[in-house]
Amino acid sequence: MRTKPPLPPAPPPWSAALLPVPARAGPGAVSLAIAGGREARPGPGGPFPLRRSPGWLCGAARRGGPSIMTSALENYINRTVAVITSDGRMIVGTLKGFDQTINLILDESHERVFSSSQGVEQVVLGLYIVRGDNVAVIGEIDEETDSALDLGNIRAEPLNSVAH
Amino acid sequence: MHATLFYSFFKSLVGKDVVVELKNDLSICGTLHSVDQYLNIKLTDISVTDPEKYPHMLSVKNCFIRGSVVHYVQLPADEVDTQLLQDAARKEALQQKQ
Repeated sequence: MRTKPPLPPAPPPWSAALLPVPARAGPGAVSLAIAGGREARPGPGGPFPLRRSPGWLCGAARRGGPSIMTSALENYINRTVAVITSDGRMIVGTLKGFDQTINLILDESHERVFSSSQGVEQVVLGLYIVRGDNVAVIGEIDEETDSALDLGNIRAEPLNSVAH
Repeated sequence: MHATLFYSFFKSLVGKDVVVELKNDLSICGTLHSVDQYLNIKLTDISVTDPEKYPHMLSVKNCFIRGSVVHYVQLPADEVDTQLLQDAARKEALQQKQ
């Protein structure tokens, strides 16, 4: 039984910094950039040079073009974020990982349900993977401002979905 | 990477204040921080144009908006040479056809 998943010899350019999930995650594991994964991996000097710069985000640039600025989620890793989904829900959690299609890993997440009749309800969700198709906005939450919020007194209509 | 005209266009607008109107009717005002090939947009120092109706983002200062949910990006008129943009778009459309 292998302790590590097999590493392909020629990764597509955009996935160069994506780390294979450790074997304990099981055969259905997806390959995402995971916070903390760098430290956890043993370093045999393998084919994936672990680098800080988001090389995989600059897909086309890695083929030798000019460096392309990317609008990356790297800065939000390990921070508390508010994810607004395409169906109008708001999920708050710690961003642990993401990939090119904006699939997300959210830890310690909860949904904030807004209603016009009663205060904000928080529903605990735990560890979530949100598929990128369903992500609309990712907001970086300012902890200070957030703890000062009186959620019990906020009244608002739930957000609309992005479809019409 | 295909069609990069508007990607280049938005890159030239980094640092300007814009209003992004989303498909779910939420409008977010902020400074354009960065854009990528999918036209995902990162805004800093954001404010929702109608915070009474949308208090959901009260504790958010910066956000990342997925390109696929953007309806409009409202820009200051003096920042854009619309003639130039129109011509460039026409040229690119022609190139794309071939």
